Amino acid sequence: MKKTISLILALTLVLGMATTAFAADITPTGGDNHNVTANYVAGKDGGTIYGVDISWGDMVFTYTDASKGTWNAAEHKYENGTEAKWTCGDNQNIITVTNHSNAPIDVTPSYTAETAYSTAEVKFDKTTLNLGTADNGEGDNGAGKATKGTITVTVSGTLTKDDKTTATTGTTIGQITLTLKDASK
Amino acid sequence: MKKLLSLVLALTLILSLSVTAFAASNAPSVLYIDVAGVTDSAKTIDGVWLWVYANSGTGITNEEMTHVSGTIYSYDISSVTDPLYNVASYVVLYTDNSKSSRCTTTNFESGKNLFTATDNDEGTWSVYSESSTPETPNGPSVTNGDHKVTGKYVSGAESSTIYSVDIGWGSMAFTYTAASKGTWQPDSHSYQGAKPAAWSWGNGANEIFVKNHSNDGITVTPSYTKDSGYENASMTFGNAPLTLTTADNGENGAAGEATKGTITVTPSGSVPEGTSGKIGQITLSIVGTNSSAGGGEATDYTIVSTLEDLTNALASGGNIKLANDITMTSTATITNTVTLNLNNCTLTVAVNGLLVEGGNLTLTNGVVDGKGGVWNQGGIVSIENCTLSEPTNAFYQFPSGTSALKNCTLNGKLVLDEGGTITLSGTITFGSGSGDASYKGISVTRGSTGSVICQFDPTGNIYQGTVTNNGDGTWTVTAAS
Repeated sequence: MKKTISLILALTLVLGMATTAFAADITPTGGDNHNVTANYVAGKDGGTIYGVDISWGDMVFTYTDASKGTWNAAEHKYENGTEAKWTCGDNQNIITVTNHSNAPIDVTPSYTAETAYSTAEVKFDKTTLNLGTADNGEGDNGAGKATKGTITVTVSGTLTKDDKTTATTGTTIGQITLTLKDASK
Repeated sequence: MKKLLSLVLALTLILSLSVTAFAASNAPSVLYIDVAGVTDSAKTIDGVWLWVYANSGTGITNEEMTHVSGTIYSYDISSVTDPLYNVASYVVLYTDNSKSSRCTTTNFESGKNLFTATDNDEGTWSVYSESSTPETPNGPSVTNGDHKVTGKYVSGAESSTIYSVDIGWGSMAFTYTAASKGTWQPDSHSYQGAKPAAWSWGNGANEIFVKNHSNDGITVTPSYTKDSGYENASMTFGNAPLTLTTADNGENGAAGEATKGTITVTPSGSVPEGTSGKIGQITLSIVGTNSSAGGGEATDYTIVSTLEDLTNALASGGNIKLANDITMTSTATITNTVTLNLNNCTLTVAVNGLLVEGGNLTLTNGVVDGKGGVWNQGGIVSIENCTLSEPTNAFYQFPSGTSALKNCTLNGKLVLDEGGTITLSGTITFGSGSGDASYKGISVTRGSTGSVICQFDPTGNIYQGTVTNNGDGTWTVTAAS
């Protein structure tokens, strides 16, 4: 039984050697030589893994319509009027993107308005947010650090007064879409 | 070559939507394939097709290909035997439905739950699986690429309507000179040089000046009350009711100008011999265009849903709102003050329709159909946001009264017969009556002493009458001579 096991081990060892061994003639005065060859095979890595966190502000915006102010009957004009304005809560208009990927990414925001509310315009503080790879640790195996950035959303234009927009919860006036792209390709 | 380029494009789109990846030590129960965003816009390939194959288990489309149409596909792989180690299970992306155009393949590889495959052109795409008991996310990531934007409307602070009106009265002192027979002529046995009775007054003594400083238009309606003992003396008013537009008429926020007008008073009849002093009183009633009396919204209503309820409510007066369409069977005569909000319903009237006999009717927000339309017989009528569908005489004023219509559609004529004033403002649309298409518009009948005042140019909408441009943004329609 032991023999059998040894044989199998020996065969395995032979098979495991990459070089080939052949029998050769040996002369008294000479020696022997043989070329040694090698092939390089790249190590197999895990490829590009994309991991991106996106954190949205509430994206709830309030449009306060203009006010004429108070009528001055003596001057025949309004006084202390106010312009229409858009407001939102603190950081409700911020999109935060965190890149955990081992590749840089480009994040491009776009906006599609609902037909009934196309008079409201949405703009972004940057056309594209560029985030570097998280594979930024020191040396080959040092852990890297996620990269992070923000996109700020602003709304302008006007909003139609109707039952939906005057509801406590407001209504959906459009949708923001983020398109993520590998910046290295 | 075209095929390859298109594929790369599609794969890039997939990448742009890379999704949830949880590190999981357990075998996945669901396999997700994210193909959202894959399109065939280039029309150079026959779409993108997925083939998910497992060599054991159920619930997977082993032989059927799925035509990608832009969504996340999920496959239950909980019954697949050891899927993470089963190299014979795989996902294939094709560019047609023949299984002969394989572009990329990925196996359910051991130890990974995020699969990445590379096609021949270096485009990459991914599938991923979710364990039934995911552990803490391993670094990465939730991608949530869409988010709704919510808008809320808040009205700006209301600007109150401020009414400020100057009224300047002439002395309103009138002299009545009784008739004189003249001088007796003995030769002819008759009087010569007879003079009829006459009223006279000083220059401007019979004028009432009104100046509007308000940020709203106003209508000034004069009336005269006789004192006892002087019932034979009457006063008639010229240019009345007087309509003045708002002083909020400055352009681009500039200060506006007050608007003004004059009502003239003309006495008639007689006073007893020896009269010297007060014989009566003139009262000016001023109503703002946007005030509730001028057609604005009341707040407390009696809601009616049946003919009986409506009949009773009209008899009692007050604010009435329809809950639904109501059909009447007889004339609805209004002799008191009624605000009738049709609430976007149809009131079908009968016989002589809605007949205002000396009462005060405010009618809003709906349709009056049926025979008779709306009549004003000496009352005060305000109609706003209504359609009057009587095809011949949609609105008829006879023999006197004051009426104001704003933002209305009339499918028959608006008739002023004999006296009073009708004011039209906002958008007044004249639809065609039944039969002759020309049987529509404003009609001031021959011999009428009243007028229709329009805050727009009614030329082209006249059935009978003459239009005069007053030059102040108003036009007056009077009877043709």
